[in-house]
Amino acid sequence: MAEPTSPQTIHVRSAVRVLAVWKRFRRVYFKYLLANIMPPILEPLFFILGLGVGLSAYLGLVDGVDYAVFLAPGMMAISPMWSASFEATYGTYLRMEFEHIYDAILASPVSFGEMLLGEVLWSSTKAAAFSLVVVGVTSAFGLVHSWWVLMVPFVGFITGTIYALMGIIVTSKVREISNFNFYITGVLTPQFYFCGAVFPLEQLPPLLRSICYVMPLTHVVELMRSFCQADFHEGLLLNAAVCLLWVAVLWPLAHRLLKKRIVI
Amino acid sequence: MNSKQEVVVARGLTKSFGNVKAVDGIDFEVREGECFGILGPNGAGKTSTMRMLYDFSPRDGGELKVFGMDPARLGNQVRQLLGVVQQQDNLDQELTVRENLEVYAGYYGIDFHGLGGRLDELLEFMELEGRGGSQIRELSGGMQRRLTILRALVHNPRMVILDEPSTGLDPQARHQIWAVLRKLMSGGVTVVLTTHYMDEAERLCDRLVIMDKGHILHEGAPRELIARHLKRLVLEADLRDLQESWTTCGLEYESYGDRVFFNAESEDAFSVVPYRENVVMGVLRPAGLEDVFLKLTGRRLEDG
Repeated sequence: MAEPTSPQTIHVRSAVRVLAVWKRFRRVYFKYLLANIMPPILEPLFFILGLGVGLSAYLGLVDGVDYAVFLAPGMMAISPMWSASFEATYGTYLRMEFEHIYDAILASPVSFGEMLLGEVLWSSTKAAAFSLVVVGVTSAFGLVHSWWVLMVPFVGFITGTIYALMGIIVTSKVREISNFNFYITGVLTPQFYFCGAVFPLEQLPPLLRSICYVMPLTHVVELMRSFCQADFHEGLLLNAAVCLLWVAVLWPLAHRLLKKRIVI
Repeated sequence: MNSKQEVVVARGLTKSFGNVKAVDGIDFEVREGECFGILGPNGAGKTSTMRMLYDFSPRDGGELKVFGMDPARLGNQVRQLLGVVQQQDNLDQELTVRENLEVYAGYYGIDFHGLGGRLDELLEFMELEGRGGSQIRELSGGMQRRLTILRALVHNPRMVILDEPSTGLDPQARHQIWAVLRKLMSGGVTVVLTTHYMDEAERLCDRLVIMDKGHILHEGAPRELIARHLKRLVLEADLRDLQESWTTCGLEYESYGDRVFFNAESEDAFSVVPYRENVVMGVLRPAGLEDVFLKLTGRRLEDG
């Protein structure tokens, strides 16, 4: 009874299913659009006003530019990191433990790999959009001066991929929702402060700086800053390579651990 | 394998969790168009068996063919032909009734935009007409279950598998679910369901297996199973209403807790039951699957 299906058709059908999962997330997000778009717009705005404008006057030049200009690309890196992280920790946990959304999806033709891809693609899309919103907000304050800034959403996208995968790995091990504090405060907040987003890495003691060079956010910030200031150097290839390496390492791990948690 | 008739064939199907064999080498087959029941207490291995059918859980041993395909290899294609209703309610709480159906249809590759008519038809089929715009939390438990079943039907599956479809529902809601399943069956859809309610199994199933501790104890049509193991009538009496000599009154019996179940072919035979003084007789009823289960395992179904 099994109809012979060509490999091409199989790939098309698989892509349609991945897209269907992505659309599910988009649909839920747009349903509460007003509440959902407040943080990505207002947070960078407050950041610019609170830190950029407020502190700039006292700081003089940071890394050769006005502090608000220095801060702008940092925010473009941070916003997608938080967005993807919350989606993949609290969001994934609620879908898994309370709403049983994944069980329902896996009862349809969607496979586990397709479901994971759809979810991570959505987190990445949202992260890209968030970084673009930061571009808009900072541009309005005259903090970006290069058309290269249009590359920011692509970096935002891969930032979303990395932190979505990382969050999923954490979620697959978390039994109690309060345990996310260890990850959020212990792993993400230090990246926010120390990975070059809010002050130059050179200020850090050597050991801490070495640790930061392993963290993905450091490399994301470097890329964002280069595109914002149209300042390109060979080191950027290394930054991009590290980001891709993180994705390559995290993906199979996220797949295996979340599958083990959901499928019994 | 006769693929025209048997849509599921399981041979030596096994599922282990650590050292525990949840499903221990069972054989069964499901025929096209029938309602096949897996009856058993909690922990019998019913859900594990179901999950292997649609490749939610990988199996640890044995052979399994669903519509001629191995679910472990061609899960996508198998699930495309199945409608699956899981035990836990798992509707998308953030979406409305209509949106739930549209999103789920997307997983089957169906574009539901612009197919409003078909959707209304389905809602009507499930007695949910006019509810398309409702939030899930506004629906009663019975309505949510009907919507979950409906969601599994958006792609016109050839076989629907339901894990305890009426557990936790009030009697009226259960009857509505049964009515829906009968409508499905009259449309030629194969139905596989698990239950620990013997009345549900007796009402719906053409054929069933009784499972306990990972094994299939018996297989057959409900009436056939009852006829094979029991006489026609059961008299259910309270132990405290009987004289000490009840064990030797000559009737076949099973006892469980403070209940005694006498079994005989005719009403007259129960006249030998030795009641205490001033006691009216116990409850007389036809023998059912529950009695079969009690006889086979010494336990009642719902106790697990």
